[in-house]
Amino acid sequence: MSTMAQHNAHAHQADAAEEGGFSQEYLTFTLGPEEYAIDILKVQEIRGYEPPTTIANAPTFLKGVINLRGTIVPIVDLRIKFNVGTIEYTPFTVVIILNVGKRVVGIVVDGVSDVTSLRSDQVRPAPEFAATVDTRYINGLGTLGERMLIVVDIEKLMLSGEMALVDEAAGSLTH
Amino acid sequence: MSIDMSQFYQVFFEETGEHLATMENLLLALDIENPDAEQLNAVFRAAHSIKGSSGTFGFTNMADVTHILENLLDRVRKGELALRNDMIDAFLDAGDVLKGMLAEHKGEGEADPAAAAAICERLKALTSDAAPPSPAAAAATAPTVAVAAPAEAATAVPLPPTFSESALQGVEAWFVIDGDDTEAAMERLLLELSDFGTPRILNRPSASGKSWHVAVVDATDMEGVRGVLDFLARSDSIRVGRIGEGAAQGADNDGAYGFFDDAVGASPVSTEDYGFFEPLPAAADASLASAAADTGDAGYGFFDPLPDAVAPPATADAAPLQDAGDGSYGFFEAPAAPAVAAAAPAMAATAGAEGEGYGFFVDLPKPEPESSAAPVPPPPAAVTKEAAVPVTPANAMAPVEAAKPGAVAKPAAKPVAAAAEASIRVDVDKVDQLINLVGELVITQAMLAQSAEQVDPVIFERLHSGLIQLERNSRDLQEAVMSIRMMPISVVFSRFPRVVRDLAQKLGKQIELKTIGEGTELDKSLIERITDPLTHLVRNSLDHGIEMPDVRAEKGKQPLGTITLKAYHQSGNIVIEVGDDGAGLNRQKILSKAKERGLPVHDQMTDGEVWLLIFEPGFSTADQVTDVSGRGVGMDVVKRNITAMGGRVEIESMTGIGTRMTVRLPLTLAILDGMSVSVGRETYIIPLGYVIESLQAERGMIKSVSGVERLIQVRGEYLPVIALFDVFGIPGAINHLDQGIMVVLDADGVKAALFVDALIGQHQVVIKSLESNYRKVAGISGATIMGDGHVALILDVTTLVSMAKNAMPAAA
Repeated sequence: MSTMAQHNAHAHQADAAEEGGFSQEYLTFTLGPEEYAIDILKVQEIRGYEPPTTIANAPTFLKGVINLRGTIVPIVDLRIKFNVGTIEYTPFTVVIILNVGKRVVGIVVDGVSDVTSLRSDQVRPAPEFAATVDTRYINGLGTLGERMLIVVDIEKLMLSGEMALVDEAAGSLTH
Repeated sequence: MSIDMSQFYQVFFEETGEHLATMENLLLALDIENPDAEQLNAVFRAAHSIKGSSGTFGFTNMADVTHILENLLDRVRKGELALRNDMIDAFLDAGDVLKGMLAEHKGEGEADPAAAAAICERLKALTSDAAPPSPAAAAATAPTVAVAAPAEAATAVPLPPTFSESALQGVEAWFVIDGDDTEAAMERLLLELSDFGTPRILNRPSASGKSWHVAVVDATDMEGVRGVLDFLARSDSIRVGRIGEGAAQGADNDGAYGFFDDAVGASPVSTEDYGFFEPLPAAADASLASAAADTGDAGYGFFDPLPDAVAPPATADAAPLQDAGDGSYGFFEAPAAPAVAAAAPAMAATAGAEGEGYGFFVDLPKPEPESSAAPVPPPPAAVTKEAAVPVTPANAMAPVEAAKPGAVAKPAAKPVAAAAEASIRVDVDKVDQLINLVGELVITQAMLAQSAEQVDPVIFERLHSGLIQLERNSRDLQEAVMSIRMMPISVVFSRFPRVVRDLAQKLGKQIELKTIGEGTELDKSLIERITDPLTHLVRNSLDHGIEMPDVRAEKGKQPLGTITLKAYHQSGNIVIEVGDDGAGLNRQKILSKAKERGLPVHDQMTDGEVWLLIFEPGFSTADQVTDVSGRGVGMDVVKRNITAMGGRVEIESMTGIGTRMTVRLPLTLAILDGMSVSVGRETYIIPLGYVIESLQAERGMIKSVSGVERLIQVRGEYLPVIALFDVFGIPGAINHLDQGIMVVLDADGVKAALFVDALIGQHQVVIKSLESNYRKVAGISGATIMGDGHVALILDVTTLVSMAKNAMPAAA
């Protein structure tokens, strides 16, 4: 599935270049009613949810670790982290495997929508507002017709101290 | 046409490093009174190989030192000089100088040219100690280094038709030696030449000409002779030819010298004159058939003495040369060298010779002209894949030897061939990748086995037996792959004779080193990391443990102290002991030093606790700081390093009897014998090394303290209970201590009982890092993948025990 997504991404990028727009490819996914967009190049693959091995004394949004072809990959439920949507695990629950920094991390989302290309003029800076997602990790708000996409700097977010995915010492370096 | 030589440097570095190590070990093992000729030869060969390869790569400083070293060695091995202790010292020091140079070439540090010059002088002085040998005497001693090339050394000279004729002849040479000390150079030269035959000086340089004229009677290997000359004489002045034939053709052969012709002693120092990638003029010049011209254009002779290969076709059938020679680069490329070589009289199938193409340090098979008369295809067995990877020259000898069609040559002694065992160099990453893949395979196999349990074994009998077969095979495969990473500890131990020898000399102590269990295997990564701590322990024993000889005599001990290095396997661990029969640790001294430093000590501490104080940072009981030890830096580092490897150090000591440091390490960092236990719906792995026993607790065994059940009485001992469900907050677990299972653990001397729901089984698990994608989790040392593909976490028993210890007062 991942390779397909990436192929598409490349194809889209090529199209965008022909149009002459300064655009970037994003993978969009939904968390409850909200739609998020992340840099497609950070996505390794997309797979179905399988119950991970829980880790003791970990934050609630860290569901545990899974075996991804021999690699131990932590799984974060973004719905719990962002406090959106209902937390249920159905056969349609999707895990996006990300490559951030040198790490492989999985995020649980409600569903993957599509791959879109956003020109830079389509992404507006996010206003300062109080949210569970720190605006530091929001690159901007993209508009695609009626849809609003929250463009997240997924790498910065995943490596941040508040995700507790990296050891404190390593995590603080990314700030 | 230039090729980046640097890509071969790594091979050179590794090879030379190995040769140096071999040399050192052999030297240390030599019995000075009665040296074993075979060992001396082996030392000589190692030095010779270093000389040859360093010359080729242009590291002339190394070649120079080795050359002088080799001269002395040569005289010793021929019995002209008696081996003395100071020679061994000089040899060892020369080895150190070479190591320094090697490090410099690698870009790690700088060599000291002064030291090199000093060692050269020392070696020269030793060499000239005795009267120069008569050439006859030298020649009389059978050359022990193999004369590998089967004579004839076919240059472009028209070849004598029969073997017997050529054998009666010799080689003569004209050359000029530069420099002031030509007599000394000549002496060395004659010595070298005596490997080939009986050297005789026919004409010395006079006022009119500076040229020497030397004949080597009975010599057949013209290339070898040329190689020796090249080393000592001015290369542009050399002419070599068969006796009687003059040297007319000799000078034409610029493009092809007996490169790398290890066995015959051709050890080039300067590279310029060697036919590196030069279109082969020799072949073109030679009065060869037209077919040879094709070869001449295309063949670039690198390490292969090309003329050897090219010449024979002149007398043989030329046709096959055309396809063989096209586009051949006699360098590392499979078809290349063989292509030329395959033009050999025997017309060996080109494909067949492919293996040899990689023989880097291998002298390529020189086709012998004789066999052109009676073409004998080499047996298929001679096509050795072994030669396809860089092997040590010694190993390489064998296949090359075998590849020679119809070996007419004198089967001169080839001690090298059989000596070393074949080995290949493989990137550790590749091995690790292999291990990972096999791990995956084992997991897949386990998954299959699990699914197969669902089906009816009667109907699917063949499926079941196939799966059983698969299981066995994959287990064997896993073991075999794992063993690739395992190396004998002798790799580490072998460096200690030198350390002990040097240090004992420096300190004026008499010490014998005993090693036991060198064959004990452990993971390569551990080998690399254990070397420094062990060296430190040995130095410590030497410096602080063993007393001076007179002190020992006073105490009624033998003046000769003993340090024992011992390695063995014990319950999934490798145990390495460093023992000495010295003075033992001084309890009073350690305690008073500890008090001085303000450490929390008291007189009632057990010996074991006192001994552990020496691992405190900066702790030293040495009265004076020497350059060996005594600064108090080190023992703490030793402990830290060993702990980091998952091992531990123990000390036993008795005053006046000695001290023994015991290092316990896991066999490998990658695999672990574990016991799987279940708690709630979770599965955890307990490293088996920590498990003493497991039992089901009865009501009466569980004791409570201040209202909380937290002790269990096992065989008269009260052990703290660590309830895993509690520590990890696992829901749905058994929470009555008498219903689950108690696993009694011994974590570095601290015992505790771990309470779990049930035991599942015992596995060998591949340790996966949790930190590479996540972070460190308290109480968890890593993760592994179970048969069903699920992740199970491996418990960090030491941390768990201490966690429980700390948590307890808080709970109360």
